[in-house]
Amino acid sequence: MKPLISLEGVSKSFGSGQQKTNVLSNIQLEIKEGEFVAIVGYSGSGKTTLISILAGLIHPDKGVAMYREHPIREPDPGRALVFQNYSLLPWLSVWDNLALAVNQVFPHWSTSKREEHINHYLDMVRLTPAKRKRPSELSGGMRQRVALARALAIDPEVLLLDEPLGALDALTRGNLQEEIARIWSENKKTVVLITNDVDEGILLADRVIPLTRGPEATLGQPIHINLPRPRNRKELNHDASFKDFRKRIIESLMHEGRQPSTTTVRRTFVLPNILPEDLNAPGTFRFGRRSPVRHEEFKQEPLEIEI
Amino acid sequence: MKDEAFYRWITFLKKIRFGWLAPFFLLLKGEDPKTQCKAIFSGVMMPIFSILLFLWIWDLASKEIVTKFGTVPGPRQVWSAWKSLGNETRLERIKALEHQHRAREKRIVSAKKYKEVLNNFPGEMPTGLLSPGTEDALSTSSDAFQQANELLEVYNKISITLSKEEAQSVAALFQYETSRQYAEKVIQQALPLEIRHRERVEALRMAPEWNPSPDDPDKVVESKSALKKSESKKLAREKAILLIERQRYATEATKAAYALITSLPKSVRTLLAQSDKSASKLYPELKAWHENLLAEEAATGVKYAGKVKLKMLVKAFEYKPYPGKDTYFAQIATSLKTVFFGFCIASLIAIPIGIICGLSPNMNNAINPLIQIFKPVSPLAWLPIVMILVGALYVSDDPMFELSFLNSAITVALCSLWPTLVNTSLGVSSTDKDIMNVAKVLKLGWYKKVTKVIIPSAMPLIFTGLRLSLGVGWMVLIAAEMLAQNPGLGKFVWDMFQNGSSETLSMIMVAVFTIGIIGFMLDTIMLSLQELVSFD
Repeated sequence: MKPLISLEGVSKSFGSGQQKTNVLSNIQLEIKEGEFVAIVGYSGSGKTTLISILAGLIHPDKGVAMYREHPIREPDPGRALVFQNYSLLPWLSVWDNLALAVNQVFPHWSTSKREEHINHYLDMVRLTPAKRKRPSELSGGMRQRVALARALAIDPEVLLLDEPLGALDALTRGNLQEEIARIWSENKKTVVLITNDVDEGILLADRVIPLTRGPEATLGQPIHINLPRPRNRKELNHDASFKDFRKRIIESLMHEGRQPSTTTVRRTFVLPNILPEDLNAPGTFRFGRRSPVRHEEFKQEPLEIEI
Repeated sequence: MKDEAFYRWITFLKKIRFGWLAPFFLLLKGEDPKTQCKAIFSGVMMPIFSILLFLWIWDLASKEIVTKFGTVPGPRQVWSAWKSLGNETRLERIKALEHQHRAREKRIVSAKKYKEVLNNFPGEMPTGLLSPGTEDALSTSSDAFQQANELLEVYNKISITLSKEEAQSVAALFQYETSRQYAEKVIQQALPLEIRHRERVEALRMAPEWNPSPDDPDKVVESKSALKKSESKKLAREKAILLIERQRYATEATKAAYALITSLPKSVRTLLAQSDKSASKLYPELKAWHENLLAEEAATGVKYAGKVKLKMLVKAFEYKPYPGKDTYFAQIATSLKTVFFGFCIASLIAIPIGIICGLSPNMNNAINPLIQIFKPVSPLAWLPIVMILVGALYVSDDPMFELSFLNSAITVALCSLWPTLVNTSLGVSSTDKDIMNVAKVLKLGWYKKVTKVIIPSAMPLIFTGLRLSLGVGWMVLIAAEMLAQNPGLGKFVWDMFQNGSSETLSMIMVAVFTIGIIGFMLDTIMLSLQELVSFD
């Protein structure tokens, strides 16, 4: 079977000249249709760059990103993106946020069909009671559910999730993980999840791929998670294979990545030539008659600081 | 549920800048009285206290300073000047009503007269002329006669409505007369009081300023100047008080007259207004008839009796507005109209340009230097340019706007353009990047992207810009009006400064407070709008 999405030798750098940083280098990735792939990596390792390439928001410098055997040139509603910070339009209600997307993607549908569609997805993320509220009136978890519903409502072939739960507290995160698992089992869409949470990857994905530490991050050896679904978080915590997966992923993240970029630099700082005020100076003070001794007392000493 | 509505109301109050009322409602609702009392103290009592303190210090200080216009007016004098302006407005309204009434009377009289003439018209109609072309003349004259008859029909219609009006208004007119009489009576009553006050002033003025003591001439000189000083101060104060008193009587009298007039059955005023309206409708029709008849007459050489009276009728139906002077409130209205007109021009120019600048960094870089150069230019520098350009370009026989109005409005627009422009472009260019990505993923077209995503997200900043623009415009307007002689608050201040009466200072102070309070109100309105469109 041909892969739905493939990245072949993709590299991306930002800036130019001295400031140039190679974020991604030589990324190889193949994603089959209906697969749930999690890409796990440190924060700042270029995960968002990777998913932006998949979405078509940015283009690789080297290599090609293919979608259904065509190079990805521009964003497409077929590859819906869910952002870490929800990106809901704050001036629209939950309903209108969905309606904007649905009206854009299905303009030929009748109004009643569109409404039904929106209601279906609001119901799926259990937000029907809040449909008239604005994003600012919702909690973070609810907002992310709206963003998820919006992405699902345009009926994409691929769902790209860019650290969707990154900004949420642990409890909400757990609930939403279950929700995502449930929704995936209902829809069976192709999902690419980007996360920094190893457990989240194991819980949700068919395949976890570690992304090494940047700069010049690249993908490590994929790890197939063959745990039976539905997976229960509490039970998994005591599951031996789960622990094994976690160990392998963490090891792969630790070892395949180069040493963290904490090289020691020695620099010499010369402290400014300021004489501290001598608080115990003699009481009788006159202009121009400072004691010459004090100048000798404070010698300039270079200070070495390790960074 | 009811609670939710209540708290939504409280939030709304805060949004429209009436948050200081909130503690009262919360107190009524039975929320923690201590917190609410604290809120009332800081939100309501403190401002009131500071205003009172200000008034007190002003009152004290004003008594000490004597200028060539008398003492500097204190709060009381300014208040009385404000009242006298209200009084003037009422008087003007009474006069305008009188004017309307007189016009109507004239219309009825001349219509009646002309009706008579028309009734007798066939008798005076020439039967024929013996000169060449008699038949032509006859036919045309009979045409003219027919026209006259048609006119008669039209006129009958008018006269029917007029006589109806007349019947309706007899009672009303009677009341109007009585009210006038009453008003005069009130003024009569007020008169002796005023005379008495005048006498007192005179007495004070004529009173010996000092009592010389023959023993010590040096002391006399000293006490003389001291006495003179204290006396003149006393006199000035006395004068100010008298002015207030006089104002009060005049105000009371006009108020009574005005109250009577306004308490008349509304029918009088509606009648007068209707009369004006029907007259202005009939006027072109009558004028055309009249001109037609004159033309016919010229062609045939037939003389129509009543021609002159037809002219009278036409003239009577011409609508002439009351030519009285602008009242203070009319001047405020003109100022507001000018500032809104200028503000609208500015917004119509600034918002689209701002959006373009925000969308394209190249455009922004291209236009930015122009913005930076023109932004700090004072209205006083713009005005002469505007005056010359408008004078050259806006030439029309029947101008829709007066030149002075356009001059000050365009100057306001030129000065208030910039905050909206800058803020709009900032708002558009700072649209959240992730939201733009959403638009990209959804493949929104350019137009949809701008109208559904970029403009809504820039809305709060656009409104911030509009608010700043309106504030700048209002400030600039006064200066522009002063120079352009546009009949508004600025001209009022200038006129008051020029006429140099004893009321000059207090009138200008009234204008200062009016300008301040209206500016404050405009700002509050814009701030509320800004709050209502913001989505955080």
